Parts: sequence; structure tokens; C-alpha cells
Amino acid sequence: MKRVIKISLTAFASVLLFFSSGCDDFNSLPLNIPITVNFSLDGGALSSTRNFCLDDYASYTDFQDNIDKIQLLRVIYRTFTVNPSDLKGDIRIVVTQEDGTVLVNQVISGVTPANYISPNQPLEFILTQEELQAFNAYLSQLNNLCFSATISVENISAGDPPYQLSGAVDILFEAETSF
Amino acid sequence: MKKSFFSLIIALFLFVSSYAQVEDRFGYLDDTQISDYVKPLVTTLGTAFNSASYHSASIPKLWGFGISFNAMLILVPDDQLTYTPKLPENYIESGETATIWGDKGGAFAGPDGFVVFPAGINKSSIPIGYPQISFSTMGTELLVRYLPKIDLGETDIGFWGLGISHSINQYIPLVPVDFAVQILYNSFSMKDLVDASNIAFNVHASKSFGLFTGYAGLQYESSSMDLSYTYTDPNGTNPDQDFTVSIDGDNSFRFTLGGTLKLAVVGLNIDYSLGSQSVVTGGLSFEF
Repeated sequence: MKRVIKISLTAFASVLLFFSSGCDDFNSLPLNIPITVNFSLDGGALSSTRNFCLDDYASYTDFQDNIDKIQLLRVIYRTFTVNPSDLKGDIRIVVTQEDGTVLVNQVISGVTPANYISPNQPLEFILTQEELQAFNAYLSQLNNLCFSATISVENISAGDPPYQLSGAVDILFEAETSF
Repeated sequence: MKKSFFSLIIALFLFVSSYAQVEDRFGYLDDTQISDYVKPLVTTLGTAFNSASYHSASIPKLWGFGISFNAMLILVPDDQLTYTPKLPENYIESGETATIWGDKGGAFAGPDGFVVFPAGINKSSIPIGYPQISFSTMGTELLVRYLPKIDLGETDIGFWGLGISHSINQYIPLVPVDFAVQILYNSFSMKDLVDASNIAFNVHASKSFGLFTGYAGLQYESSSMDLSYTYTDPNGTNPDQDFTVSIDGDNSFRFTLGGTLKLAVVGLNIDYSLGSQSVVTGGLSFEF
């Protein structure tokens, strides 16, 4: 009888520990990390450059020590204010690494910025595979992730100067973290 | 005996110790959004604690005592791994995001930038285990489950449950099967975080064929949880807020089918329950 009890307990404990062994998933956390880069353009030539680093943002620094991998997902543009309201032109965004290497150079033609003021939907930049690969290759270093972003309005075809434009570029990253 | 009891404590603890990572996920959702994300967890706790309450409908008339160790694997269906989130006004992108048991959280673009939702734990089968003892006399069985408070540092956990079963076939001579009715109540808590309660009513029947007993039951059950957590705006716009919300699980009816192999005082049972979340339950019991 003692032997039966001992064998039963051992078998049951083994099955229990087998089912309990899959707890690695509890220690990983895929994260969406959104950051917002605000800008303001005015004057005859509409262009603004902002330097920023991911560790300027709490949504990144809260998990920075646990991030194993981070990649770029999406980039959108929103307008806050624009003058004159009928301003129209080509919106260009250029993002470079800290050393000036171009990661993204995108232009969307014939944009009326007033169309992207809330509650209207934002304008999305569709990045090429090469741009995504270059961006993610830079992100893979996981340290000193600093960028320079230039947004400009070119080939203005409507509206009279002086021009004024304020808005934001929102960038969405996805990070794999482990604890 | 000590080793197996400790193994069961580990199993429950492993589930609970994941709560630190679970709470990170809660913090992204305010009180209008948390229910859809957490509901499958409430259902899982209800499924777990409303299980393993019987493996035979034969209840001793004179005297009986039993101690059992139960382990279960809860199976979360695909439709409980994601949900459609409530988005702010004027956000027209649509899609699903993970529940607590799902995988990746969703991200939706709109007039005020990106709205992001937390990921899940990416598990569709969850193991839980716990011990219980039973006392029976006059065709009535009292089931007791209890774990002493376990200190986890920032919180402590407590678990207890009570069940009463009563034999019905003792009143009906010549009935070819044993059958009984049961009521069950369980409570699980993590101090200052979670207070979960579960209740069940069932009728179950069994028939023995030598060493083997087949059993089946139909059960109505419910589960609910009070959850306290701190919300942190993922965009950093609003200050942290403390919320306490009450969430009901999707538990309602389940059908159970199983069998017990008994050799002298040792019984090994396994059963499958079909419900909102199905569960495979195994038990090792010593009955005197």
C-alpha cells in the first residue's frame, strides 16, 4: 500500500509540474510604444527640424532596461493649426540617424494640411521596405536611439504667405520585452 | 505527501506570481476598458475553483474522510483571446486587441494620435491546482478547501472553499445509479488587488464497475472579481488614477464526464468539463 501511495504521489506531482512548466510566457511582454514629435513651421519657407531620442519618452524609458528588440510600425501626421486654411503643398518628412544617415525620406503630394485637423483622420506615411529595414537596423543597437526629423511643405500651390503650420508626427514602435 | 502538497502550492503560486506582469498590463486600461480585457481571467478562476468538487456520487451513510490533490488544465477558446476595444470618439480604425490571455495588443490611429492597448499573456491553456479534504456522514459530504495566507512580498494570497453534497438515491430504493446534489462556494484573494468569489450548484451521478467508477454532472456556476489597480495614461497626458472595478465571468452551465480508478484507499480520477472555458481535471485522492 505504501508503495502504491508513493508511486501515485510521484506520478501526480510529475504531471502537475509538467503542466506548470510553461510559465516562460508570463515573463515576456510585447509593447506598443507611441511617441509624438510636435513641430511648428512659419514664414515663407515651411520647414522645421526636431532632434529627439527615444529615451525622451516615458513610454520607452519605463521599459528600456527590459527591451530585447524594437521595431518601427507606423508613422502618421496630424495638423494642429494652419494659416491660411487653404494652404496646399507637398509634405515631406526626412528622418536621419544621429550621424545624418537618412532612414526615411517620404513625400506626399498635394496635401491640404487643414484636412488633417481633429476630428479628421491623420495622414499616414507609407514607408518602403528599404526604409523599414534601415530604420529597424538602426533600432537594433538598442542604445542612444536618437534621430533628427525634418518636416517641410514644398511646392505650395494654394494659399498666400505668410504661412503658419503646427502639428505632430506620431511614430509607433513595437518592442519585445522580457522580465 | 509533503512534496506533493508543496508541488500544488507551487502550481497555484506560479499562476499568482505572474500577477506582477499581469498588473503591468492592467495599468494601460481605464475603468471603462478593463472589463473586456480581464473577463476571461475571471472566467478562468471561476472555471478552476468550480471544478474538482466530486468524482463520485456515492456518499457514505456512516462515516467517511478523504483528502485529495487536484490539478486542472483550463482551455481558453479563441473567441476569448481577443475583443473589440472601445475607441475614443472620431477614431474610425477598427480591429481587435488581446484579452489578458491573448497575444499582441492593438494600436489604432486617429485624430489625437495612436491609441494603444496592452498585450496579453499569450496562453490558451492554464494550469491550476489545489488540495481539499472531505468529511461525510448520513449521506452528506462537507468539502473544505483552504490555503493559509501566503506572503508574496507586496501582497499576500488567500484561498478557501466550502461545498456540501447530499445523496439523493438513498431515498429512492433500487435506483441503478448513485446521484447527489451539491452547492459549492470558493473565495480567492490577493490583498489590495483581487477579491474573487465563485458559486456553483450541480447534480451529479455515478456508477461503479469494480475498480472503475464513471461519473457525470450538470452544473450551474458563476464567478465575479473585484479588481483594484492603478491606471497610467500610456500617452502621459493624464495623471495616474486608482480604480476598483467589479467584473463578472462568462461562467454559466457546464457538463462533466469522467472516471475514477480506485485501489483500496487510493483513487485516481480524470474528467472533462464542457463550458465557457473547458477544463481537464485530474485528481489523486485518499479516502477512508
